[in-house]
Amino acid sequence: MSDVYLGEFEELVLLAICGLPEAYAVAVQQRIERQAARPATIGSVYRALTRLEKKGYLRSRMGAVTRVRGGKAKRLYEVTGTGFAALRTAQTARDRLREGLDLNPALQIA
Amino acid sequence: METPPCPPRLARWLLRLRLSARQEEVLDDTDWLFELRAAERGLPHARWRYWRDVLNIFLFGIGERAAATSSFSGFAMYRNYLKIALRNLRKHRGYATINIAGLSIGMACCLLLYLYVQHELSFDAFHENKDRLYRVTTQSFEPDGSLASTGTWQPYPLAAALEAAFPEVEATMRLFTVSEFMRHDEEAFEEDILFADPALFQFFSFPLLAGDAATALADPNSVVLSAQTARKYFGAADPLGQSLSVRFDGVFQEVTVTGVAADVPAASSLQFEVVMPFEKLGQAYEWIANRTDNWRASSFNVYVALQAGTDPVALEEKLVAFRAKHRGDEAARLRERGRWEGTHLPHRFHLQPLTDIHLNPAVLGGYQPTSDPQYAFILGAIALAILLIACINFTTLAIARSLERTREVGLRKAVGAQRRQLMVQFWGEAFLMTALALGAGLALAWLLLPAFNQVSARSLSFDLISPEAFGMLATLLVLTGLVAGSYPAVLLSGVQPIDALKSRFRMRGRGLLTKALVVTQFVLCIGLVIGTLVMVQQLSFLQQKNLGYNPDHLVVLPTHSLDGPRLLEHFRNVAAQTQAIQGVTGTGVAFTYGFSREGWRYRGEERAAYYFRIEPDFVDVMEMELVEGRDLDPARPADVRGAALVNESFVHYMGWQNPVGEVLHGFYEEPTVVGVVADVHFQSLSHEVEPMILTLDPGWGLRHLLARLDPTDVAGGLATLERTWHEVAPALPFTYSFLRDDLARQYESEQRWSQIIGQAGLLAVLIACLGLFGLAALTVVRRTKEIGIRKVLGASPQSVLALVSKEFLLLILLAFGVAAPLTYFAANHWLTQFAFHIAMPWQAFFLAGGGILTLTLLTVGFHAWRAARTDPAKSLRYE
Repeated sequence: MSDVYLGEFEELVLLAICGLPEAYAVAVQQRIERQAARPATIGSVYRALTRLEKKGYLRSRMGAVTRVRGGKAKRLYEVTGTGFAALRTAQTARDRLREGLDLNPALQIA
Repeated sequence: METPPCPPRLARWLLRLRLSARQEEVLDDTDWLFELRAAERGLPHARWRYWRDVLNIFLFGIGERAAATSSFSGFAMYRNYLKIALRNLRKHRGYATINIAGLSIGMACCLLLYLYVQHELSFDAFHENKDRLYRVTTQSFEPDGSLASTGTWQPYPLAAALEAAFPEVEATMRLFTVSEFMRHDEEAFEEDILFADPALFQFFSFPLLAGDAATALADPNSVVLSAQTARKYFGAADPLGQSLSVRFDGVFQEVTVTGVAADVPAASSLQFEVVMPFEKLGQAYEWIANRTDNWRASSFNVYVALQAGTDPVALEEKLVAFRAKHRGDEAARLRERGRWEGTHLPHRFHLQPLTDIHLNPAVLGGYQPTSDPQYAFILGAIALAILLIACINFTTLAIARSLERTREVGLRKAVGAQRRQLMVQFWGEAFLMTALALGAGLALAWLLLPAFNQVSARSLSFDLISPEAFGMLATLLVLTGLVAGSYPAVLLSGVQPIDALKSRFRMRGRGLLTKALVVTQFVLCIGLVIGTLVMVQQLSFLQQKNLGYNPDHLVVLPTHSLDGPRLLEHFRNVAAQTQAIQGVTGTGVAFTYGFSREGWRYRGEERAAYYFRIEPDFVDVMEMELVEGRDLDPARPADVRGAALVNESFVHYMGWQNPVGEVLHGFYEEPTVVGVVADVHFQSLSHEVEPMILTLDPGWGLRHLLARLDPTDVAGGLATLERTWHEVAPALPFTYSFLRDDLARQYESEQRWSQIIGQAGLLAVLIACLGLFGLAALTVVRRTKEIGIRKVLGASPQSVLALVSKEFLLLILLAFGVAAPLTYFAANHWLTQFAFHIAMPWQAFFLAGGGILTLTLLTVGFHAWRAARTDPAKSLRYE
């Protein structure tokens, strides 16, 4: 079980990468902050990326030099097959737990 | 085009420092984020987020695995050090409290000292031309060539002559102060008036709030007030152009306010509330008008501004011939009178730098009290002693706990720690503790400052926002940390791991070092306590010493140049009708207010004595003792000018066998001695009793009336005096003082310093006892098993108590043996500054020794008793 364990923030990072054409640290951080409305420091993003890479859910390569950012190279991340598998496992685990639960009890009263 | 905003440089530098792998990448990323955020939500937001990111990365890294070559391992280790240090603080709360409390008190003392010294050194530093301003003083030499005294008094024509003779003298400034009444709207106050040349506000840097600095003092009848004084007389109204009356020689004269000066800073050796033109002096006072071209009479202070680049020493050399030209051959004159054998000059002009004035009490005749640097040194020594005692606490407690720490050292070394790294760790711990103490010390100093200001009679402000102050704080932190942490850092780090882990380790000389340190602490404490006791006893001796007259309930009334004899007569009549006033008399000048020293030629020899013109009853009202002959009697016409009283010192000075009937040849009216009074201390007790002459000669004015009040009705007596004063002098306010208070004021600075030293001594003893408390606790813990075995074998609680206490008692006795002779010499040196002082009070030594011994017993005994009472079954199961 331990090898498919995925932390909550790690899951957000993986999902953010899936949704990005060019996934590098700053882009991931911005996406999490905007889409997930969750403030994240760049340091926590780095640490999550490093951990995920170590677990084999991600792989990275240096991207091509672009004109943006003064022509400096960036490290681009890609979700690996095990990464997608882990996301699915997490999703399934949640769905099962959530089955039959009403998460809006207040609405019921209204 | 605008340059794009940059991330905070310090933060970026920290980030670079923290990272080794992927440094460029992270820097690029964070820069880019900064730009994005700045564009989106503004610079402050971007900066704030940037700092947050950097601190976050700085503390937690970016998740890279620690590589052998990176500095990550270093940071991880430092984090571990910090963790261990904090854990230690938490675990040994009592020990940490003792250390931090002691160090913070020591640091607070050092901070207060710093503020004090800073204030003392800042005197007169605000003058723009301070490096070119000098006060002209006169140095007088003994026949053997040593310096006898230095005085500021100069003749009236000196300033103009200096300006005329020396091109390097750019400007001069004459000053003189007089105390006179000033009146506005029927309300009069006594003011110290500073008379100064018109350029005062350009010569010195005293800014004018209103009026023109160049012309404010041009008219002889102008006056410039300080802002505070202007408020006193005119309230919120504009004081410019208003008129005031000043009383010169008994007559009020109109003057006009032409300027308002900013209140003079506290750190100025020249203070004023009211300034008038120097020229006015000659018009106001006849005796000054007679001196305007007299080179022999010296009364005024003269300052000079030298041209930039002038060497004052070279100018002083030129002043030798200048002096001879104007004052004649002083050596020859003295030689002729048989008072000079030297070949050198008896008097020389000297240029005293403006910034030297405040801290040089050796120069007499300045207008403001100076400060004796001796006390700053004493204060400094005490502050350092307290800090040292606190550092010693730190060390002895560290030694006592070293066994525990050696295991940690052994383990760290076993897994590869370098000695250097361990030193960093232990010093780091000391610095952490010191930094916490510095924080507490700053707060403590801030809290104590008002009290310190009151005791030291200064107005220091808690001003530590300057490069020097930061430097001082940093030095304090670094030095204290280095000293306090040196034992564990240097010695503990050298432990061999195998010895440490097998608990085979014994630190060489550890016990001896602890003992030496504890002895040092108590030498300092005992010294401070003895010093305080000696000072307190000497001061109470000064206040209680029989002065030869009774200063209690004696009121001094200045006559303010009114008709003294008429005033006195009025008061005498009133006194005759009331019980509350036991007697009234008058004198040329009251004791403690001054004196006049007269020299005359007695049968071809130079003689000098202190002279007081008195009224009849003086001897009775002052309660002086007549030892021979009779009192002066106004009923005998011959007594009014032709009779004198002398004191015993005078008889001794003249070498007379039968003084009554001797004639004072050459002394004014050549009076005959009719009586001898016992010696009285008319000067402060720093001086021997000097020869004194008393006569009734009405040719001398009466400046003070003296009234003795009934001790049981002082309030009633004062009220009667005030009522009488308003009857005879309705225009002037009633001013008085008690002679007892005037006497106390002579020892004000000693009083103040004995208080400061006493309180510092208490603090030192407190900190040392705290340390001893901790040390005793640790000692007892170490000996828990021994004590348990002893008790099993039948030792009584008393013998256990003795066992533990003995060790410390011996140390205190040793400390006493060292401290007693050292303090004896120091205290003796201080006592000899007083012509009249107590014999070395041995009781003080025993009191201090006994007191500290008792405190030690209580401190150590607390733990010893607890240990002695513990059930041996429990203590043997210990560990």
